[in-house]
Amino acid sequence: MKNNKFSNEELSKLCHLFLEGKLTREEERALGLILSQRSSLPEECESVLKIIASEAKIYKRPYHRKRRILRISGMAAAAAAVLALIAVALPYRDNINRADENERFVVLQEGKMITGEEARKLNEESQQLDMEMVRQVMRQQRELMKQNFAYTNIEDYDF
Amino acid sequence: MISNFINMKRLLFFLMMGIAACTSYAANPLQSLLQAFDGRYNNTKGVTTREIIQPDNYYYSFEVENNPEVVKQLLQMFEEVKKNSNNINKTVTNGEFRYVLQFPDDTTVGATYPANYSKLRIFMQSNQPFTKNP
Repeated sequence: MKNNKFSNEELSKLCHLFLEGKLTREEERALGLILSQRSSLPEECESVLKIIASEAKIYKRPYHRKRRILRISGMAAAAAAVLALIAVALPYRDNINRADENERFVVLQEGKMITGEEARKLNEESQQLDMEMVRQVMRQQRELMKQNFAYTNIEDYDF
Repeated sequence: MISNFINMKRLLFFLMMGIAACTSYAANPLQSLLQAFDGRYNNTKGVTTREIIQPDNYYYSFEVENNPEVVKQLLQMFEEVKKNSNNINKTVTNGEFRYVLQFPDDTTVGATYPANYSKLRIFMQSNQPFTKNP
């Protein structure tokens, strides 16, 4: 549909077709464009132009809203992805244990550093001592739980 | 246009808050005790630190003798860690307090000290690396 090719009669006919709902979506849009560019319009076409303009507004709103939501969601997803990456990467940055070290034994005694075999021996002894303490505490806890269980059962027993 | 911008800012603000909340929820439960290994006690009187790094064995320990001030500070840190554990085992043997805390990631934290706080042993053991700043 070319703007200057249509006479007022033809436009009027097209507007009637629009009002009867016989135009396709594309044709309706083209008609709206032609009517908006014309300085003078037949009477029925003025109302058609108003309808097309108001429909365009109605359609424009959700379309834009959808785009805006998509844009915001995109930004939010990107921000979340960046933060997630940072959250994953940070613990590795400050790892006390550097990945290039397979084994390390260090003892610091009031500022005096002991490393190597001597440190290994001292640290292994210390760890054994601590693990023994853990075993003793857990054993005592189990004993305590057993006693509590037995005591509770005696209390519950109906003599 | 302005209201859209405000809405967008609000959405991003809530998103950031949510992420911050999740991050703090997932914070390392040993955080307060790990601070003790940042070198602040390296030259302190009566303090011995030990460190073992082996595949599947990460062990850090503190031994303090004749320094009640450091004992107090470390016990405060230990108390913070204790709050984050739901598996606390405590016994008192021959006037000595013994604590064993266990965490779901197989980390064990232990502390031993007498009633007069004259000395203290604290250790952390895990099969995976500890992190300073989770």
